[in-house]
Amino acid sequence: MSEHASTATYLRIAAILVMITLIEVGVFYVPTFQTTLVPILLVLSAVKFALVVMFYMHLKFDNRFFAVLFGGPLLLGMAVVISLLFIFYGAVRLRTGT
Amino acid sequence: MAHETTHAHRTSMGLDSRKMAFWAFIGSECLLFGSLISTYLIYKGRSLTGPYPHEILNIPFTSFSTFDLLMSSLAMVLALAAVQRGDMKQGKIWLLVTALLGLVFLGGQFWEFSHFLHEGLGLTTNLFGSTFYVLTGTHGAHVTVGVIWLLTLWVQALRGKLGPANAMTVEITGLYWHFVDVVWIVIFTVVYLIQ
Amino acid sequence: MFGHPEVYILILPAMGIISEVLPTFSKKPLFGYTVVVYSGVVIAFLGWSVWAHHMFSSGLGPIADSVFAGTTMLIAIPTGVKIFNWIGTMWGGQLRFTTSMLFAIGFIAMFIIGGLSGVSHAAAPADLQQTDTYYVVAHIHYVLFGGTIMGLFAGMYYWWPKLTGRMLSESLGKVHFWLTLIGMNLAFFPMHFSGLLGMPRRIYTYSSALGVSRYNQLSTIGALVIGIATLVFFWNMLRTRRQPATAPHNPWGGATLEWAIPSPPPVYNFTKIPIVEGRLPLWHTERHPRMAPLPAEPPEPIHVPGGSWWPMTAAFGLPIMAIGALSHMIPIVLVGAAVLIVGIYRWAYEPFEM
Repeated sequence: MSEHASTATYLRIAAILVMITLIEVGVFYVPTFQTTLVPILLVLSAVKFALVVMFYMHLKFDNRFFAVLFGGPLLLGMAVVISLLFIFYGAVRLRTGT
Repeated sequence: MAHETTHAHRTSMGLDSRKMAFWAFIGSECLLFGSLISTYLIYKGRSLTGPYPHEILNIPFTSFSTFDLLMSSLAMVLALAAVQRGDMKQGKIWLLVTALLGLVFLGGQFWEFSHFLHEGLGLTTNLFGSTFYVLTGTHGAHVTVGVIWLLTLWVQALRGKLGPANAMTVEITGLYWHFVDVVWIVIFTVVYLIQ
Repeated sequence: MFGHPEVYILILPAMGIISEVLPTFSKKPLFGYTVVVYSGVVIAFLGWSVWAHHMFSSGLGPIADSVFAGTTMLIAIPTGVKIFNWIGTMWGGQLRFTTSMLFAIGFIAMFIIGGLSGVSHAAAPADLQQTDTYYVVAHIHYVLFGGTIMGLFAGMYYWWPKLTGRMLSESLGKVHFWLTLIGMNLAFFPMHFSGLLGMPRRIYTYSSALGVSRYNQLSTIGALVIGIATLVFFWNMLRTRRQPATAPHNPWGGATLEWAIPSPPPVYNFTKIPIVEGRLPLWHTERHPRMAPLPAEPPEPIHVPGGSWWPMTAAFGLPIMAIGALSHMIPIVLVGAAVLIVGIYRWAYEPFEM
């Protein structure tokens, strides 16, 4: 088995995850951030996602092949989501002329 | 599990075949949830009738659910660490805690769904209802399977059948559970926070 | 998103069968084995990227249309590579035209025709005329019947002795093959024409003014011929029940491991685990001699896991859940879920020794 993070590290990551969640909720409620809400939230959740996957799921320390098995479909899925958004939201813009 | 895992589950790459298979499965789950999330996103804002998301989604409540699942991931990783070092007393405790936190999440989902139904949002009410319930319902079903899985492991541990020798079982359980948590992170952001 | 990968699931096993049958009856290894395998993987992967070619007439817009037209044409490349490799396998080989081989060669020819009409569908503008007409029906039947079904027949004639210990009749088999080939072309080739003349799909009748009556009559005759051919095949299969199970280990001189054991195989398959030095263990090649024959009786006792009903039980839980959901009856869904869960638990906790 490859190297392990310590209990302290796990607790620290848990604390970071909670803090980020609090920031996300905070950003949601504070009016000044409304315009940049989406990118901020996406970045913050991406960080949470990465922390859980890399540390709790141990992907950072494991054989790279596991990352390939996961990362490939993940990228593919994200590409499909984004392409679909373009197809459907592009069409809306065209039809409504906005 | 009942059968002896004396035959090493090794692949020609030297990696545990069960772990490899499970990561491949998780990859496929990315695609599953990706399609459900894209369906939600495509139809967002296009419901012809209410209730609409901004009227009905409860951010404080859902933030608590998110916090609950994050803590359950912590409990899971502590359970794995305990089993790996042979501390079965801690292992049992943390497995049970993970399962209980999962049950709390499910309880919250049940409460939320029945509240929404009461407010008039059903599966067939409008586009929001359909896409929302299918996405969060599928996630909830995954959590349910995870809780059953965790409780099964806990019972195995109580019977003395779980230990560092079969810690891989706990590790794979952890992979599943963390993935379910990670999907919720995405759902929380995309459905609740970005309206 | 289901439909297109599904048809690749339909064709790839048949392609695999052909890749086994052709080398045996050409007495030559599969040409370009590595490339054939990777092409299969590429087809399986690209199969996920082509689905909207079934939606060209639904107003997707020029960008989506072009992308999917492109990916659909792209998938023809690994397919073509496989076809050339199969031809390369036969080229210069010592061909034996057994029924199995005839079906395999028929597969190649018919699949090429089906593939060509498929590529014509890939061009979105052309597809606007072809879609939902009998031209598509012609395409799908050439690839499915001429492809998959013929591939399956090739496999059945090939492995029947191994499965049952009896040989299928070669003369009946050849009757089956030729009637199938003629019947299939008679049935489906005219559909190219009736489709382009405008005959839509999924209709139960049409006006004689459309001018496709003659083509449809030919198709009917062709269908009857196929029916007769298939009856010949069923008769062939039934006949073998009365024969004794005396087929040899390796009636075709195949190269792969299944031919090293008796027909039908004993429950443990191999008396001892064979040592294998290449993909063609039973042939003498430049790289290795023929594999040593296996002992007739197992030198050591072999542990064979017992069968189990639990996997099937677990599986039955799923259709019960589905039927409950379709009939809007939650109790039935819960019953199905219970069957599934109990089935899984009992499967997992079943003792290994049975």
